[in-house]
Amino acid sequence: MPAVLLAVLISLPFWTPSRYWVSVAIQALILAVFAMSLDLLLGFGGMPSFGHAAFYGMGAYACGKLFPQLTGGGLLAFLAAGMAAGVIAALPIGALAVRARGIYFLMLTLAFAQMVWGLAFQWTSFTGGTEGMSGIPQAVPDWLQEQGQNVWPALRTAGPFYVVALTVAVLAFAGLTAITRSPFGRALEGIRENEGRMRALGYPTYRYRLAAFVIAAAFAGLAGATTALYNGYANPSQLYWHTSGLVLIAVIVGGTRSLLGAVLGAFFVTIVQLVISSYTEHWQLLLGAVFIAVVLFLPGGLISLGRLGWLRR
Amino acid sequence: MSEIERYLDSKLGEDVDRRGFLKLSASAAGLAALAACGGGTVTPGPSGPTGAEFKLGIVLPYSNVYAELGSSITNGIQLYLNKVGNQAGNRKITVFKEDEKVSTDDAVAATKKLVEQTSVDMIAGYVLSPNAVANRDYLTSNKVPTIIANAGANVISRAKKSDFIYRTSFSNWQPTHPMGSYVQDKLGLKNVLLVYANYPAGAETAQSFRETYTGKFAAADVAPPLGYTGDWAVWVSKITAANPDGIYVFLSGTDSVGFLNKANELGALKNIKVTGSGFFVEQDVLGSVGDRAPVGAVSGLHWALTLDTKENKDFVAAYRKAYNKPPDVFAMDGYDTGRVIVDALNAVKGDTKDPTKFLAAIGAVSFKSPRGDFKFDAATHNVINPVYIRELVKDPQLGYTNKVVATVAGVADPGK
Repeated sequence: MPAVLLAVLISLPFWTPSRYWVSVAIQALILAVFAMSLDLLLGFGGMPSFGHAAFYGMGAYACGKLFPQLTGGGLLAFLAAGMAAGVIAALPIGALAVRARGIYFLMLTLAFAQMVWGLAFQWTSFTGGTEGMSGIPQAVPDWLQEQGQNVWPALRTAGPFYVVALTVAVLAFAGLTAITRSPFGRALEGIRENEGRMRALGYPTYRYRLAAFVIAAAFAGLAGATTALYNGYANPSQLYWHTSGLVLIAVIVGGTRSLLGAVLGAFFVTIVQLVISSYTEHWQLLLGAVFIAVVLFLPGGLISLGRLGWLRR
Repeated sequence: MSEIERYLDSKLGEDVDRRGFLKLSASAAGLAALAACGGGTVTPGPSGPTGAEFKLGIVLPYSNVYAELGSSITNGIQLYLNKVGNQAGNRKITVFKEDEKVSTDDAVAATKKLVEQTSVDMIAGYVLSPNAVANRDYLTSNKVPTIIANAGANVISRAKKSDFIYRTSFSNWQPTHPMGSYVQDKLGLKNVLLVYANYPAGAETAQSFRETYTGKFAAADVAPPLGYTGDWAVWVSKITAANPDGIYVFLSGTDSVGFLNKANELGALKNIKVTGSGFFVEQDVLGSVGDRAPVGAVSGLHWALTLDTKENKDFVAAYRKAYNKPPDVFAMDGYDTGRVIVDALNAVKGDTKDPTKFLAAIGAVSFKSPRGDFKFDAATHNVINPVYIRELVKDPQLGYTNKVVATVAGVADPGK
């Protein structure tokens, strides 16, 4: 299944009817990285965060704030800055939030994220207020830019950046897969199932939960940096709870406890949002209906549909 | 059907060979099909445009809080396009609409869709400043000629001015700048309180006011959040407490309605002079507040429903006829946006292959608009507006509306 998806994505620029679909795929891939990072918290760690946009937005703002300095360092410098911003924000927030469980954790993360949003919104001199920061370069390496223009002249700048987005998504998928399959990931799932027993076994559960929170924030920051590079701006809407809610829906619709589920959910939400919304203003109604249907009838998410069921984990 | 018959008659009078006849039957069939689709909107000119279709992309909010503005602007654009038979420069103009919604991500996605999938020839719209600013780099690097039909951020005419973007509405600086000195010198106010929605447009308006009003301020600015849904008494009582001799207001839409209703209920505006940037007493607001309208309020804006010019009377009459309600300033901005597009297309004879030439034609457009003389400022790509200083009155025919008491011509954004 991952191989099929990857093959479709790699070949996309060669058969797509218009470059718009490459844009849609880029958006979906960015949301996929963001959703996978949340899935580490929600699915594997059992921590329902409603404030994950804080770290996504921080990643974007780090690129917006530092792009004059980062431009010399190229693409990797931007992506690293995004991840670092996620980590820096997650350490203090996580240290407080992971002490709470369930709905309290959810409310705390929401509150912290809204504080970050409020800061970005009000502190106009530092963050640009509601208009945010724009003019961030795509930072696509020169060789890729040249090659990309030759291979996909019709796609213009979308082509080279598609390679960037796809590479980031594949690496994030590989990295998070490795983490979830490592002893750390197994211990995290153990804590989700029965924290008391894990503590009795000698696991410092608070540190495990905090580590998971910080790792998830780093990948969210990576997704935020990618979106800032692609769209060229950082903006308070990226920090707002709507964004946290959307990624939560993507993970739940796609299927928690499965990174592939998060990816599927991200593609589903992006397509509903971008494609269906041109035909009707009521696309949110459709998304809501699907969300309710999945929660009621398909708790495993889209990934658990039919014969795909055996692919989970 | 009569339209088609007339068209066929005119064609049949010509010398028709076999090939011509086939072509003619085909086009007649096409027309019949269009008419069958409940058209009536499609009016082929005497000969019909033969050039390629001109795709006009429109990005405006059609859902959520700003849907009203989006529909007013769209109505305005459409009204002008219909007036010229939806064609210019020998090209049929087709409109493609996308929803700006509220968030910047949605506005950017809508823009990308129009540029990349629909391959539009130009874009018009943007109600919200952050959305206009966020799309600015994308539109510029993709060389898409663009007209901003509402978003007022000063920066679009200043640091973020683009070769590819013109603005037909206003910069936040424009309507307020002449008001500062008017309030001080003509109205004789000496102790003013600023009331504005706490977001960049509000802050830019306050800044603009401070540039020309040099008197005293009664207290710190009263700045409720944009889209305030709480109890307005909190903010109205700050005005009473400050005891100013006048207030200068920048609020719009539901904010203004909430404010005016509560201020009227508490009698807070009885003994003070109410002034402001025209949006807080525009027709959309006046329709909602009814008898609670602050009669006598003096406000500055680049248009008034009651402007006594032929252009404005024609516009208002045509708008009423088409949509069965009076236009507001947003509809007027849309109407002028439509005219700029049509005039520029005619000027280049429909040839938009070279965006630089087409943009030069847009920049050179000038005409008598419902607002007065319409002309772009070459330095800022922003429209040079007259600012009308209007007084709110109760007209026996029009109900509550704004009457022009003074005019400041040629107000251009300073560009820095």
